[in-house]
Amino acid sequence: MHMTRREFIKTGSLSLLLVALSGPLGLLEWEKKAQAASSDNVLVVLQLSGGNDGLNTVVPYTVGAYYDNRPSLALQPGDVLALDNQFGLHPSLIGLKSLWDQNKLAIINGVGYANPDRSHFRSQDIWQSAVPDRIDMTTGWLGRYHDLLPDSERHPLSGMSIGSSSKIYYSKRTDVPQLQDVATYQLLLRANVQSEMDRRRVAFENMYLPTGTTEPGSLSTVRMKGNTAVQSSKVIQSNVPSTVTGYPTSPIGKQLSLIAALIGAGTGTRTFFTEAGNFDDHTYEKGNHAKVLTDVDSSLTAFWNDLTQRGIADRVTVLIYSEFGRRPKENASSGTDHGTAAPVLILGNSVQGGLYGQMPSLTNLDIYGDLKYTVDFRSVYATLLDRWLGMPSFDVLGGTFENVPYLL
Amino acid sequence: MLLHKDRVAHLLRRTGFTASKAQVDALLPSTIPQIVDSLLNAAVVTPTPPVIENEDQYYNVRRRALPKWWLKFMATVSKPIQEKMVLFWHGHLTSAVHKVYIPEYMQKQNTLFRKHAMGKFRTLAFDISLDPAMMVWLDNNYNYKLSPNENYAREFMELFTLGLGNYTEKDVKEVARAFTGWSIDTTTLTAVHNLATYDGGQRTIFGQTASFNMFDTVNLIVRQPACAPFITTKLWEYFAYKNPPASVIQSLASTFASSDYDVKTLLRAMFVHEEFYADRAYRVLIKSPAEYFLWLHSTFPNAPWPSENGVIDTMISMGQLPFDPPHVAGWADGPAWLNSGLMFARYNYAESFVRTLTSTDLPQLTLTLPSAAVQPMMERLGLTDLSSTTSKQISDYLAAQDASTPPEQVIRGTLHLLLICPEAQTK
Repeated sequence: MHMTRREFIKTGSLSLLLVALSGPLGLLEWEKKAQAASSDNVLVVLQLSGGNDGLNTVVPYTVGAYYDNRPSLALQPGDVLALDNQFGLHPSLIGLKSLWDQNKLAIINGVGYANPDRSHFRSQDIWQSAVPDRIDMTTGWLGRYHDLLPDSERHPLSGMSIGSSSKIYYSKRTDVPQLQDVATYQLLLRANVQSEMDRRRVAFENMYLPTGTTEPGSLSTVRMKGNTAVQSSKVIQSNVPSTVTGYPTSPIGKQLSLIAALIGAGTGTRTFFTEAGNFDDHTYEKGNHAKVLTDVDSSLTAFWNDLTQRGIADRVTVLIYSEFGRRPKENASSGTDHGTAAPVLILGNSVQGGLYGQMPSLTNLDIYGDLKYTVDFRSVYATLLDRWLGMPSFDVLGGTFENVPYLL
Repeated sequence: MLLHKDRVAHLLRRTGFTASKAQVDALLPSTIPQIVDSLLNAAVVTPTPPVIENEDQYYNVRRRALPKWWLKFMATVSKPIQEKMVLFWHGHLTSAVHKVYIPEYMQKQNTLFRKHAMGKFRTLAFDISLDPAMMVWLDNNYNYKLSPNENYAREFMELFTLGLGNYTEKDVKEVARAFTGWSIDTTTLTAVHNLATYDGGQRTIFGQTASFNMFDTVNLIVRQPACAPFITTKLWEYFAYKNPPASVIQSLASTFASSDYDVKTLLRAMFVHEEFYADRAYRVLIKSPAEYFLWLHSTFPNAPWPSENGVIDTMISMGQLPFDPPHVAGWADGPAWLNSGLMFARYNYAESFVRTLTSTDLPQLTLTLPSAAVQPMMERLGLTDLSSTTSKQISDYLAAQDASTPPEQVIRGTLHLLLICPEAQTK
């Protein structure tokens, strides 16, 4: 059976998409059809893990119900960094405010999905798989994007996870490496004789070459993963300087500095995933939230300055989201519990800065006392796929989602 | 169909950290059930508490003693199944020092896991709910009648006992109410119940209405039909392979439930199960970083250990620092351990490890013919089932040697290759 892409779209459903990706049917056909843009646009995905408090990030500082719900946590009108006469950024987000003033920051309010899950892991899975109604997904949305790239654009570094690994890159045929530290991202050998080190390196690399046969247990998988490590290490070691300055020394500062260095080195990476943690503020939120937002803000600012100095900022768009926001009503421990919809931020020189989406009502809440989403998160992804990565969003998302016009 | 000797090696790799030829040979006259009984019935060994050199030091200094202290103990116990179970519970009923902060709490939790490692799950599920580290980790010490904190109630059902889809949002709210009123006595490191913050009212949990307290509620949850299969699947995936057939889980879960949730009964049923020795189980699991590290240090027990900070750095770089899992779902295991950065950390730790060995640790270092060292090293490492692809690379490496390299360096090089080969990452 031979299926053209047009037919696929007509009959398309997610189950078909999965069959097309996993089965022998489709892949070759898809390679020919996937008209991925030949531009060198890069997408950086930054996940704020733990459930960032959206209401205290993009603050509806004129809404009375916000103050009613947050007797100890509310940010006062005089303290927020006003974006307009309704919304203001958390006072720690000085760098993002400056990028907003330069028209480089889009903020989409009320982003979420139907029947929101309040489990960190399930909700992160949903944001990463982009298939909210299935719990058996074995691919992530960026994994599917990379699966669909034509072979001419696929290589061991076409996607990279910086820091921890992520289900966003789960895929059928793409092995995306994870990189924490450049200096140790290679086989380190120390011996008296150079030829001995060379021989050992050759043996090591050959042990991980795919054998082309089915092997017992996990051997084939181990060889594939090891081979990705070997190949990606070669590219990185020949390209990337191992020192950087100007960033916070925090994990997210280091991770973003590495991403800038990799883009600058011309590794041809199309997408990066990274995350910043410690947003799960069930207790004593005020001080902690300000601390982690400051860290993210200064890291992003340094990142953007770095990209600009390298002359490559035009090629980069950053997506910043969290798996959920937090409940409007604060709890008794001066914190907030897991909530639902929240703002998503998009940063880039091609971004049309401004506010998008409808802010959910703070009085018309769902039965658990949480915000009702107004923008499907897949609309945000669809816009990036269609307008930035040049991949038809239907192919990746298995459905049609209205674009949010934050990119032209 | 695995041969008896392969089954014995498989069982040793899964229930311990090493499976040398000598270990396997010693067990060959015994049947699998006999070996399983000897593993499971060994008396529990308890470690002496870590030596904290300066009691006045801040928590973040004192807590650095913990990972090396526990890993060293794991490397020395004669029946490592005990510590593998402690590690399992640590990854399953997770708490992490980056939030708990107080090292004594983490150590106390480690002791709790050892005490109940192969005991009654109902007891463990209740005791962990009143464990200070867990109370801090999931905020149940801030769960008050006037404003319940749902964190522990939700994760207890989602991650610890039932799994998603086996409770409702309403159950979460009602269980959170039943769990109110607890705080930590910081002198005795125990939980105390405060009637002032306890919600003693009626609640409806899984369709039953009463003024359930925490003990009632934990029992109610563990006795839900979803709990026994949930725990059975977790243990099967930890010891055997991922995505087991429903038929295997059903029969094991019913054994577990009818033994009043006795973990040792369940483990015995698993380890004598024919499916545990199926072809698809063989070498399919990936060694966790802790298992890989302990494989090296148990195989060469006199090799020097890194400092406390060195152990921490090593385990972070491989992706598994004991006492500090990344989040409440513990560590992502399996292929996640094979990510490039984590793999290089293994290869490079093995490289520095090999350079520290002396001829007391590795007598073959004194041989003049390196190829004569290969078989004894493979037997000691439990790698006699090496694939032909990998074996060929080892022999090519030896064949390519010239006179410029001293034999001792070639033998170290061979050992390094054996430690970093694909087979060595599996168990």
